[in-house]
Parts: sequence; C-alpha cells; structure tokens
Amino acid sequence: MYSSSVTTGDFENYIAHDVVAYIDTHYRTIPERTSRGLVVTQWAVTAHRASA
Amino acid sequence: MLFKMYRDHFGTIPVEVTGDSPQPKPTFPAGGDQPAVNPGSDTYPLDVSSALSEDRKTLTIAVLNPSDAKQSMKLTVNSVKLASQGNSGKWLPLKSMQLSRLEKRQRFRWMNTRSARFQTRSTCLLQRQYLLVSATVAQPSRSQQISNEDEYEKYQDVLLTDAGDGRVAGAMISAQVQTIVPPVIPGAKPATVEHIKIHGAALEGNLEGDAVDRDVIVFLPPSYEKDKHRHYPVVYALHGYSIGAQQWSAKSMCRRPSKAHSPRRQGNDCRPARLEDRLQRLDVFEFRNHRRF
Repeated sequence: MYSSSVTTGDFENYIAHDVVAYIDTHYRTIPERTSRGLVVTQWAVTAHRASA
Repeated sequence: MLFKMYRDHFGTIPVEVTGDSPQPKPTFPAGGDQPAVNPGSDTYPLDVSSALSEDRKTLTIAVLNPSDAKQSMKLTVNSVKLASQGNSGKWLPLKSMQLSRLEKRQRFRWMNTRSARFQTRSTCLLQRQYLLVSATVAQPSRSQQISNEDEYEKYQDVLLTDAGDGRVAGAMISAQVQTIVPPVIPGAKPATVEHIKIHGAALEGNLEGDAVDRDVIVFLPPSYEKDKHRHYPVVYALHGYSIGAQQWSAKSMCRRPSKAHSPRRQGNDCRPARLEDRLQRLDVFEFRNHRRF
C-alpha cells in the first residue's frame, strides 16, 4: 500500500518526500527528523519502517 | 470440522435473531464488488446468533462484541419457555475453539425465564471470547404439541416443535443494544481541520492511472492561529487498507458523537479526542491513499 510500486505508484517516496516537503513549506513545523512522528495502522507499518 | 463443532457445541436448528439496532450501511468500500448491505442481525455492533440443539432442549445464544467498547444488551427470548431461571443461563467458553480467558465474574443476570440483561466486555473479539448462553428449554406437554398452522400461531409462545408438516418452528430472540460512549474531556478546545490535496511527483506515471493529487486532512492545534510564531512538531498518520482518511480520523482523532455507529457524522466538526490529547501541541496529518489491489 505505501510501498514503492510501479503499478499503483511510489507511495513510499510520496509520503517520505513529497508530503513531508509540502507540509514543511506550507505549515509552521519544526522541520527536523526528531520532530516528526508517525501513526500507522496494520498495512502501513512495513513500508514505513523503511522510509521514516 | 466446523459443522461438527456447531453440532456439538452450538445447535442445529437456527433461531431467528432480531433487534432494534440495525446494521449500518457499509462505509469503508475497498474496491471490487461492494456489498449493498452489511450482513448480520439488527443487533449492531454485537454479533448475535442462536440455535437450538437437535433434541430442542438447549437453546444456545452466542454474542460476540467486535467493537472497542463495552456493550450492554437486554435479551428477550420470545417464543420459547425456558425451564428455570436459576441455572439456565451461564457463560461457557468454547474450548474447542480455544476461546479462553473467561472472566469469572460476568455481568449477566436472568430477570425471569424469558429475558436477561448483560454487559459484554470490550473487544471480546480481540480477547477471543464469546458469550455463550445456554438455556434449558421447557418441554412442551402433550397437549401443547402443535399440529397445524393455526395452532402454530396460537401456541407461538410455547412452541418448540415441528409445525406438523415437517417445518421447523424457530424461536425468536430480540436484543437491545446500547453503546457506551466515553465521556467528553472537559474543556477540550476544538482543533482546526483542513482538507487539502498534496501533489505527488513520486506518483506520476503510475500504471493504474490513479490521481497523483491525494487528499490529506490536516489537524491544526487550537493555538495554531493565535500563536503566529510558534513552530510545531508533526505527526503523520497513515490509515490502513480498506479504510479512508476520513473514516480513520473519525475513529482515532475525533470524539464520537452520541451514536458511536455513525462515524460519518463528524465531518469537519471535529473535537480533539484522547489520542490528540496525548499528542498535545502536535499537528496531526492524515493521508488519503486508499488503494485498490
């Protein structure tokens, strides 16, 4: 689901790069690794061990 | 194997179960063929099923609570007479299914031979626990044997035998479900909720042709507008397969309104709930990446 797939799309990089970059530029965040948290459910876990 | 278990531990004559809490319409479509309705009796969110043993002496009622809250329920047996109220209701673990860890003190009470009240523990499903009520059924006397349809109507209350023409007369059980909603946190300020789309350069050219601008829900903390110079840490929340961001945010981030089984009612009217309380001063972002496999 959140993996890097040619078929469904590279969601791994979408979450890890596109979304994080967008949020950091559009909202007042603390743009650091230590200030990012992740809440996931069942299907999302595996991919995000790798990409977070 | 499964049917043997049913025969040995449950019953062979199905019993109609009704209730006053209808199943909601399916809300989390996952692609592919969608069911038009949720299956199950009108005992939402409890899963109630019942059967009579082959000799029609034992009525078994199974109640499963798949929700994450305690549920209470009033059970009424409509068309059978139960033999006695003293020992007629008990909790039995289905050992053959390895449903164990049964609590000794269960809140279960027979009010009379017809009805009972009880409260399930939360998430019986996760704790692999069933409530099984096994009741001994009073034998109809010879004069109450039913031979035709008119008498079937007449003796519905004492009915526990064939309707004469080989049809099996079922008993009827009704259940009333009341959901226990956690109390509102006093003084909780509302969070600002924004629904935005974020373009995914990484998603461009995917073979399924899915949209590359994905829905994202942003929860801003109560102080975000007031405190213009403050920067906040971020929590990214990814929902699982078969569910959308909207449903998950309603589930995990927002207080449920009075009816817990209508998660769609929240919309933008979100109030910070327990999870967000714990994540004080964090922004919570949600992603809508609902995929089809």
